[in-house]
Amino acid sequence: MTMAVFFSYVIFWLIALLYVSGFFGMMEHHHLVKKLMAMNLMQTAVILFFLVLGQKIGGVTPIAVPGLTDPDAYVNPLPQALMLTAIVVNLSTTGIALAFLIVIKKHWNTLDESEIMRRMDK
Amino acid sequence: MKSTTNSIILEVACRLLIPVLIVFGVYVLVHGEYSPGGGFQAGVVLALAVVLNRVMEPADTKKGYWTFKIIALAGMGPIIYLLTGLWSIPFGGNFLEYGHLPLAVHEAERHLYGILFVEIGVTVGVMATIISIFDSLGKVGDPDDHGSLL
Amino acid sequence: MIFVILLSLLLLIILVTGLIAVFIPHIFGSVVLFNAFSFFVVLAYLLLSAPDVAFTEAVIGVISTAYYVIAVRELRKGDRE
Repeated sequence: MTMAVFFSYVIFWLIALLYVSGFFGMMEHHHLVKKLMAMNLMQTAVILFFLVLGQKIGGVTPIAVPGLTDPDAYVNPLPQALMLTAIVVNLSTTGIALAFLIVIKKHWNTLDESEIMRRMDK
Repeated sequence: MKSTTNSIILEVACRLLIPVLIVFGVYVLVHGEYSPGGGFQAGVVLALAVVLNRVMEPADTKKGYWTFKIIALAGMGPIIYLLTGLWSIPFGGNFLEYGHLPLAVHEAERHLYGILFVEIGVTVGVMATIISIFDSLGKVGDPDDHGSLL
Repeated sequence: MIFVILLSLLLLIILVTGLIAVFIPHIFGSVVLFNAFSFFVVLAYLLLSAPDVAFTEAVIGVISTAYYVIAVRELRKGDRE
């Protein structure tokens, strides 16, 4: 196994670790704002994974360079276009989730999830 | 009414940054075909200028913002998009077929102007939506709220 | 080769910043660290030769920090009194 192949495995493991840490944060925390941040971590890990999939070593940025007509020289632009949409959705998810958190705070007067669940069971 | 600013540094930095942000937003909008950028990014940069103005303003300003007008502006964006699409239909094209736009330029340039109009619609919609989300998160349309935003 | 090592290091920084941002107890510091995390992610996107995604993420990081700040201020309003 050459060094470059080893480090590309390292990249995938680090992205997986980022995803899993976001998932762990979502399960572990009781504070709802921290849960939302952990969810943003997971989304970032997914976006990074897609971008790494479209990457090739030595590839050129997928903006037309004059004189360079070989399509193999460019990085695959399809995952980038997809992930642009994902980032936009990320922002609107954050906005709506924060609005929901304000409504929850107003109604239950707390943001602790276990406390809210305990009161809901009564 | 005496208006106390948050801090003189914040106020001066804000006064310097906001025109730069607006110019950069318009640049990103009109240059989006050749370089990174486009309608969404330009809308967010333009919204950042307004959001920065709202965050940095003096503590005891009465926050009677134009929330209703912002939501009307958010509806104007899709209308600009729709009118651009419908514009080519009376001239023999399909919906959003830019080659049939009645502009006295070459056909490839007509595509450019059509995309520019669509991007303007996207920019207006995104800008107004982001400002209205910010307003409703901070309840800044509330006239009883006299607190500083930070 | 240098690209792969640089990307691994940057991902390590991203992982550490994200973990600190999620797991420190203070909520406002968490918001600020989340902004730092977002800008390290911008660097990673630039290294992956996706400038369009990087520009969008930079702008989105700033505006989502503004959302978090304003919402955290609103959420802490009842706690003080």
